Amino acid sequence: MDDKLKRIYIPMTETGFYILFCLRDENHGYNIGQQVKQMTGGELSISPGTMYGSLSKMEKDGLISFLREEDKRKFYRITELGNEILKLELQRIERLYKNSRGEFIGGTR
Amino acid sequence: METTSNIHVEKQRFYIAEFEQEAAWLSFMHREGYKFLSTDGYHYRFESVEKEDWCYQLDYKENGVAEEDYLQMYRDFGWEYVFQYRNWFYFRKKHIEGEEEDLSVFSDRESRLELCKRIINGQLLHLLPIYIILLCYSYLVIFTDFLNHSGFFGGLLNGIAVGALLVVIFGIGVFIGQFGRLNKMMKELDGTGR
Repeated sequence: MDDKLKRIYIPMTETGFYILFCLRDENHGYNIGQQVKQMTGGELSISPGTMYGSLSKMEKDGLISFLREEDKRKFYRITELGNEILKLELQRIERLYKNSRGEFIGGTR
Repeated sequence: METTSNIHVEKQRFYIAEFEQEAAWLSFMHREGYKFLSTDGYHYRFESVEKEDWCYQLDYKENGVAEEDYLQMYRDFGWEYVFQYRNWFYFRKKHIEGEEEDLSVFSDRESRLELCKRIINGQLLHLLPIYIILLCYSYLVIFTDFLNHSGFFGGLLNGIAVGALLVVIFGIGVFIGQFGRLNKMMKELDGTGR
């Protein structure tokens, strides 16, 4: 994987993480926004300018791919590369969580 | 200028780093009963309506194209597309009493930073070559013999050169001012968190 992409996307912004996470299934901008609201109990809401910008950037960087347009809405899905980055980011978040609970990585404390 | 009586025109100049002030002003005008219709960058046309609380927001799009999926995204999120002036897109959303919704089209720091970068790339940097050409022309005419003419034609060349020089000086002044303001906004965004 491109080191430059790693630098850009890891650590990921909260918005970026949720968008990529929601694109494990095909989805479009507004629906992603609704899903994120549901998942986070309304704590995170993504505005249209932010959504549009993130999707365009991720598509340009090859993390997601455009599938089709339906009723003027663009549907996307995560790519192989996007999955790799999401996996790295999930590992990082897990490490943060474990460390915050006093657990060390590698088992010994 | 306008024949219809419920059309109201205001003259107002906002520089490119003042898009937040522009949005706030349009929101203010709507609360005063003037609904924004269009602008040419200086004349703002409004329609007289009932006083209502609407939030206005501007987005800057680098390609300046109003793609259907772009406008639909905003519509989906409840924003009404109002007008496009060059690369600027104007949206508005009605403020609903008691609803604690964030009325901004950008919801995180990073996307606001991206907006500032887009504006700098699109609005400021593309003017640089023009200034450089004008500056070279002025330099050649005023300070060298490269385009040496006498009489009326020479005077004309000199006049244009002086004019060009003034345009460049004014342009670079605005450029530095706006660049500085955008830079300050970006620094403030960068300074919080992380």
